[in-house]
Amino acid sequence: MAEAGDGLPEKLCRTCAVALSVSGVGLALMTSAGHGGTITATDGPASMMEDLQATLGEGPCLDASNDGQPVLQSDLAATGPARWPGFTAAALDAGLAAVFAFPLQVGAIRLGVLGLYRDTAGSLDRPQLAEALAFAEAATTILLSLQDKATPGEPLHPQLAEAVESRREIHQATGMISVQAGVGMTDALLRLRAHAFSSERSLIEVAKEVVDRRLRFTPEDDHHE
Amino acid sequence: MSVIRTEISRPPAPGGFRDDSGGAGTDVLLAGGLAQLAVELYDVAGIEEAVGLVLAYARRTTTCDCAGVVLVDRRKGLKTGGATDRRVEQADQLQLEYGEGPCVPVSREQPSVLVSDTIVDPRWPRWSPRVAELGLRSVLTVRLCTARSNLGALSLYAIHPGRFTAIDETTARLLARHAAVAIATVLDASTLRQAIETATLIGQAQGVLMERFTIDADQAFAVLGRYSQDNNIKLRIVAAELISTRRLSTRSPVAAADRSPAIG
Repeated sequence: MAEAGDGLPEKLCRTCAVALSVSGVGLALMTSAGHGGTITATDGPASMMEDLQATLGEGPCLDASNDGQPVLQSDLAATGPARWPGFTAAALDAGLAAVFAFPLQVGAIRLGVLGLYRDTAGSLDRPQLAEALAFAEAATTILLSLQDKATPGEPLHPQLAEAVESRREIHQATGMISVQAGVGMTDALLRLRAHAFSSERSLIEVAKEVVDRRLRFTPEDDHHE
Repeated sequence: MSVIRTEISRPPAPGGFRDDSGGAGTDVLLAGGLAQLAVELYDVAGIEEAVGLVLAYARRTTTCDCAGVVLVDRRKGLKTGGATDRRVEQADQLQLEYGEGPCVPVSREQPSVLVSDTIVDPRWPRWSPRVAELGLRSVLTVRLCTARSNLGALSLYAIHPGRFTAIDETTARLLARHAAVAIATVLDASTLRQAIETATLIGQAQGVLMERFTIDADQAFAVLGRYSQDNNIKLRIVAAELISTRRLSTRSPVAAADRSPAIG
């Protein structure tokens, strides 16, 4: 996980949290395959919420990225359980009441999501919504300018590479499980996720166990394809 | 918007016809075209599509018959980025092969280069005659760059000599400025996107090898890297192939793993 340094992404998240009076803000990379790694998150619940969504493969940030539009959940207790049962339960446990997720994209190319987490219920008013959208736009620009400053020959800027690298064991564990259980990558990742969720640990923690060969998955006859 | 589009689409009439009279009208049409280009560029899914849009606008807003884009590749120098026409593709390709032609100086320092007639222009003794043979006589090449990076060049071609004027040059440079910003943005976005996807694929492929041959992550990476090098296939493609087919086609990964250690 990226340490809280003092680069532009960190500044953006901190400023955004103060400006919009939310409990936490997280900035994560996203692909069509899901969470691509947290770039940075403010102190408090944001970092855990990002991990949670990566672990579960569900949540407002993933939906915002997939749908290409903001997901505004002003009262998570009322509307969240039906939509994201796992995420909502944990978010409420962590004391959160509202989540607002803004996709970062260039045309049809999805890059990431800016997630705002708040401990009180209630909608963003219009000026707040406009401000949040402006922060999302700034975050997109920051991602692109970081990437633009990548060293020629290196595919990614170090800070982005760090976010991507933080998920390396998850991909490796997915590949290993797919052989162990004789399933495709999607199902292998689902099984890894299910295990992490049921044992109440993060995806990366469980993935490292698989990579270290302390945890194995077996073919399950009753497991649906 | 559709009105602008209709107005600026030129009649396909060849024969050296051009209208230099409409100065102000051209500006209005150009401004409308650029505004729409900016909107459409915001909605593209990748670099090819962005280049395609720029080329389509170049066709509509200038007197060219065909157009092409050459892009600066971070590793390999110049590469062709797209063309409206087979002949342009060949003409651009020839510049890369010969290392001469209007794109070459443009990519380095000059903002634009005008070639009135490829039959008589002496600057590129190998390139010009070949392009003339392709039936392309006029060339106008403008640099694609942003404040930070040099992206390549946009070349407009015409089948008749002396087709391009100062007005076309202005138009082309304006177009190139907009195009460069859009292309730079899309390029960064798609590089970032692809790097994330590549990391996923390589990690999963490593995992398959790690499990199957009881090797560690570094050894698995070395196997993929060597296979990529030996067969001259990109690492990302090797990983994708391994994941979808569950094997590396020409050589046993076990044998490759045995003769390890890492090559990075």
